[in-house]
Amino acid sequence: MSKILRVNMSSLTVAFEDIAGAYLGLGGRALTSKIVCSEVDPTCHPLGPTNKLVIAPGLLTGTSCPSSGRISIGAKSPLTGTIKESNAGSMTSQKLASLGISAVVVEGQPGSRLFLLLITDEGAELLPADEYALMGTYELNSKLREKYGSKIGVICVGPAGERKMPIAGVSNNDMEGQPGRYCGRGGMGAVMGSKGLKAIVLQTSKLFEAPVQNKEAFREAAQKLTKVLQSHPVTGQTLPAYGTAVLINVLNEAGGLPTRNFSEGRFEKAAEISGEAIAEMVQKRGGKGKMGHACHPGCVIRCSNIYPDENGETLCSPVEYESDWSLGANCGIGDLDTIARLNRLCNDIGIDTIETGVALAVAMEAGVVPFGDGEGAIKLLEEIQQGTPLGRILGAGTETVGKVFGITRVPVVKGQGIPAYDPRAVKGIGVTYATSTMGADHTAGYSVATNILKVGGYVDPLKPEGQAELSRNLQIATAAIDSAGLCVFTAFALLDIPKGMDAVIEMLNAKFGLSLTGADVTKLGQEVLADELDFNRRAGFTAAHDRLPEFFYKEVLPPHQMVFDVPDEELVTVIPAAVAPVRPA
Amino acid sequence: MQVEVRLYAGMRAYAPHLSIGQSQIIEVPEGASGKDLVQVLGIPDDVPKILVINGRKEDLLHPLKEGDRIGIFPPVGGG
Repeated sequence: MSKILRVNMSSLTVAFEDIAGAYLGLGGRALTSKIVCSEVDPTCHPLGPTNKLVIAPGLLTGTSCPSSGRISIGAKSPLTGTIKESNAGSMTSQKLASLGISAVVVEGQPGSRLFLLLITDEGAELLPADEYALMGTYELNSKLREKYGSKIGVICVGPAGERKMPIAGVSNNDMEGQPGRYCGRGGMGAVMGSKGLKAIVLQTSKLFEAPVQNKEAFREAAQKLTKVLQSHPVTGQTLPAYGTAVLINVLNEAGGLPTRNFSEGRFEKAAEISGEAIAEMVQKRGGKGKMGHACHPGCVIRCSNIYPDENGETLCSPVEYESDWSLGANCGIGDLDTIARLNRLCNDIGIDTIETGVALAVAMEAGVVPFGDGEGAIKLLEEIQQGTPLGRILGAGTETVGKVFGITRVPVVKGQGIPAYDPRAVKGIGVTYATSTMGADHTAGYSVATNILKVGGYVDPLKPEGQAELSRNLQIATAAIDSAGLCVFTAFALLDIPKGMDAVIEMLNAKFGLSLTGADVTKLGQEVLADELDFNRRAGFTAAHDRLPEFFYKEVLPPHQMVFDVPDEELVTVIPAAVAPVRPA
Repeated sequence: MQVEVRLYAGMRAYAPHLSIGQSQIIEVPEGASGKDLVQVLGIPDDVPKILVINGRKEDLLHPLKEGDRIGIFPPVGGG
């Protein structure tokens, strides 16, 4: 029987309970959103004692299913005020699932003290952790490995989380034992910090021991999905060879790479910061540098990388597309070493690279430091690290930075910074930004695949027609994928090769002894969105919040000279129509 | 007529002497299509490819114009 681990930070007690009732059969995002929706008052202060932090591995996590090592972290977000689920690929998910833990629910608050939650094969306990106060995540991971062994998983926050900054994320360790696999978005690190929880240490060597009912059928289906992922040109070839940053040149050619705070769609130094350039640097410098790095054991896509410094030592693991863009093109910075240094600083401080880069660019537009000033950007991150007044302004996120400095070009939806695709040139992703239950989030319904990458069909990115339906279908499918614990990149292959999705359903059935069909998986996605919409409505969000900032409708974006023009009446139907089949109004 | 071409990711193998993002000016006959250009570049028909012409994804049969900016990619994804 799977368990929920309840961690009460007020009474400093831990308790295991059998998973039951409405939580039974759920995992990943479906479980974090169900628990938050059921147990958290939507009007609560996100950093107060009544919010809860929920950490859940996916339904297929901890098994031989390829690329299924995702960990979901959910709560009410201090950045957006909405419900939030942010997920990352890390062995921490596989260890939790292998220990039979479906979710860790952190409740209450202990005052000003700091604690560490130690979970072992035998049980769980809270330990004092004041000695780690305000410690960066690299030093923290290193110290914890010294103390608890090299096979541990570490879920932790940096100083930004302890200071309850809304841009703080939660780090998970990579296979080398370093921090950097972030549940970055929406301030989950601030919620963890508000609970006085510096780290969760998973002291177990188990990785692939989640219970499976029909092992033979599961193994066959897992092999089928592996073959599908390896045979698709995106998941089998370009992602391992060039990493996610292969998209820098693609979006630049498509005129949708947001540059210097979303003022242009092409960056003159795109090639210098591209995935191809990262691959060349790895080749040239050698040492610990690596392309085709897996974020967790058992990933067959391996889109990650280790970016080396001049001596071949690890400078930052990984440098991903979003971080490369936010700290690079969006800040007008065209030097990979500088971007990698900024990325490492973000990882060490414990902040979301997307929100940080988007906030920095607004600060640059305000003239705090000029666009393109890499050393100036590093100094600003050090202000965040030290918690100075300017650092706290930046640490509050893009929207706050815009207000403090009187800037009107502030790319956020529901308070969350817009990621690496300009919605005027990639209109389908604009619909997802506007309507997602999470605030601006590209992964919630990755219309870029169909708009730009020609995966799962084609919808012209420059026209408003068809974008609402595209985004809606992708948001339903993604909610299910996030619940399964599958990497969202598996969708590149699943959208094009039908037997891939068959394999996923066969694995769910083999693991739990069920007889689900494709329609049930769609229904799971709809149920997740229904919970999230329900929470947001009770928190005070209405259809009027489902739109983009004004400047996207007024300012044309070069080179296409276009505005965002998907009508509001289509935006307001995206999520309500998605949930209508399971939760009629 | 002349068009401005950039090859990316795995497609760079068809112009290995160029740096990343470096453009090359290619001479194609009047009325040439993307397919004709791909042949001039020596990229085999059976290699999957995506053409972005002046910022728009276009089919291989799309007719080219003087001065077009063309990016050629293998199937890619990320995010």
